[in-house]
Amino acid sequence: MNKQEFLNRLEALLQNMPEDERQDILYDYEEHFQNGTASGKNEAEIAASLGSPQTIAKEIMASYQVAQAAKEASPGNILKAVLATVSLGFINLVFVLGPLLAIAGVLFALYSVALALIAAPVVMLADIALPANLSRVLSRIFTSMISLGTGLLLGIGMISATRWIIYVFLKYLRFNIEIIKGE
Amino acid sequence: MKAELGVVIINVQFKKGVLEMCVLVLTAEHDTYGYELANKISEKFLIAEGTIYPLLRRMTVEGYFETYLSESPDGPPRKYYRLTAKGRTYMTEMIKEWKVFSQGVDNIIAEGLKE
Repeated sequence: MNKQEFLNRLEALLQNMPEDERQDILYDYEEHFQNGTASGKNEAEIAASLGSPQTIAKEIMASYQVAQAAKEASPGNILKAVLATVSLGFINLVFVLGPLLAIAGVLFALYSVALALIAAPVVMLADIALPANLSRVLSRIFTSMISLGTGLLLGIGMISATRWIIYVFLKYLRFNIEIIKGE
Repeated sequence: MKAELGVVIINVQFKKGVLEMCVLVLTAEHDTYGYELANKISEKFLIAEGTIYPLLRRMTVEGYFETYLSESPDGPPRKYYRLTAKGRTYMTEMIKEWKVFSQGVDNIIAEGLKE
């Protein structure tokens, strides 16, 4: 592989990055080739000692996607960060996807509980048969208030817990990228 | 299977952590550019030199390095890496950990093979 082939391949693999960042990265390798040529190596030798563009691109993309997800924690961005990290090594199927599914499962369950608690009063109040006696109505209203309050508190708590969990998880992904080498 | 996984992890962790420490140490005395770093490290052990740049990029984002461009006598301007105060602290910590670790390994080797 000569210099132009190497750079073209790397550029193609970094397609999903913003133009300026991609050019900045490509410049590093361009500089590397020029320094290598200046010290008497040929382009094929330099390309061989750099390693495969795929390996390099995977690492760059993983860091980039995690940084994007940290900037804007949308489900899409998180998914991309996870996939990019998983692609660094087969081992990450266990170390990234495992914890992610477990966390997502727990979050889903807790959100369901919160929603159920919030929704329950609707059913309880709609269910009061008219004419009903006062104590029955009051008891329904109180139970509804407790349920609604607990549900709202849990829901609000879950929203900040989710934010915190995403933050920690992204930190873990970054740590993971530092450890796992893409080979 | 479990033991095998453990070995793989230690190996990769080892390689990456060490690479990070080497890069920090090589910039401690004077500012360096990517090619020089790649060359100096690959003189000592086998690495895919191309993976140095993502590492430098990440470490720069984390605030361990500052970069600047400087003209070179032969060729294009070079991107130089300067170790920041934060980077220096991080390096000192890493070296301390490394010494404890390598001493431990040395001791185990010495004790295990003394016959």
